[in-house]
Amino acid sequence: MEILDKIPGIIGYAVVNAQDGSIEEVKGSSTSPLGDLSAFFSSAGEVIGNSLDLGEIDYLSLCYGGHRLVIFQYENKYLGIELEREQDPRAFMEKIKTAITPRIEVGAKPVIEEVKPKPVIELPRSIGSKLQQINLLIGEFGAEGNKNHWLDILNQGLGILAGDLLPMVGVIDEKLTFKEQPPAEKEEEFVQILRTIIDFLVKKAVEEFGSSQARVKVQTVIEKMKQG
Amino acid sequence: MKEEVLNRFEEKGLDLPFSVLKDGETFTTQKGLPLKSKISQAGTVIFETINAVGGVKIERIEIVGKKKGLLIEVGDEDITGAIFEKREGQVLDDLWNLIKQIKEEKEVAEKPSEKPKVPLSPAILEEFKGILKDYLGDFAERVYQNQLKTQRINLSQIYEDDARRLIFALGKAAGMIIGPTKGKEMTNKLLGKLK
Repeated sequence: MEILDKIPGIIGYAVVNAQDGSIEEVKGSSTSPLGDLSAFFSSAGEVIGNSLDLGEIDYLSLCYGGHRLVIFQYENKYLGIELEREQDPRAFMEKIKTAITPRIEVGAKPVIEEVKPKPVIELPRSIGSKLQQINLLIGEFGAEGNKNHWLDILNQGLGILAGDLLPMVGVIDEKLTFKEQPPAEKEEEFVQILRTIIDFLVKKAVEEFGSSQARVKVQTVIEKMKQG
Repeated sequence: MKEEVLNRFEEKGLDLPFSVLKDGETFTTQKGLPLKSKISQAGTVIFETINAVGGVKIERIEIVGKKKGLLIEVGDEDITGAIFEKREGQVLDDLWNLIKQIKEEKEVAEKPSEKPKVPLSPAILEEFKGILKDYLGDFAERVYQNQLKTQRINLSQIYEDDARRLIFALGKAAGMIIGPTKGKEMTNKLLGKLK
């Protein structure tokens, strides 16, 4: 379901096995237990749907705080997708289904439609440079085979610090990436947020490696950035 | 009283409004009587599921099937909702607004003698920010703003329930930066400001 990583607006998602209710995957920057919410409520939705004769369930939507979790079945999985609360659950579900449904072309193997970030995302230099710094830091801190651990820390940081930036970015192919063009009027705010994320990563590095080793790693990143 | 309110909202356009208390007591309109025990069971499933997940304050649940749908406003002690038949051009926000009105009317009807809730002084938020700054330093402002938005806190009128919810969310976020022990310590300091 990596394709979900690339869809703008998704804060996080969970994949649940529809047969046994086991949680197969949870990804993204949500601070809520998306796996448990999707597993428990997909099951509750089935029970209630049968009891009240609602018909086959199209979707469930839960609202909590500023977020909305849309849960729906796709083949033999339940997908639980966290969005901003203002999003229309049905429209978003349709968008996701379209994105992940295999297209069968005559004489060809089924292909999963690629949802790529909009073809041209031109990041302002200020944002691009911070993004590059974050990705280099993750590469450097996770150089000894624990990159996933650092990507988890990055997602944690995004979840608590990223605010309006959150639905626009995601980790794609192990890199923090913009999934859509950031609005020009948000440039300064987004730079500030990315700066805070960098501070968060460095703080975590000091905790994990000690200050002198962390400083060496940060210095390596600075050198790499100078080299361009 | 509850049935009266529900009847009125049925006339306003809700197909089958209902209310279920945590103890299972269920109210419907006359039309909903044949489904009363099933609605009650659905209420129990909702309460149990929310309890099973824990830690997330779910405010609204929407379950939409091919034939019918179910909308639920979740309260601390009860749920209020409606079952609706699916129709062409239906706008669910209109139904949500009616359910919200039922909930508000019920609250007024059930608690006529209680004193209205008094908002906290806005200054308390400045005190929260001070404590946050002590624990989180430069991260404080960003964490604070993020949680205000995530928890949908109305800054013009903040009540104790909202403040408590904000405090626990701030504590959880802080725990990811300074560790759970310090995060809990900060939560307790913030809670102390409510006393």
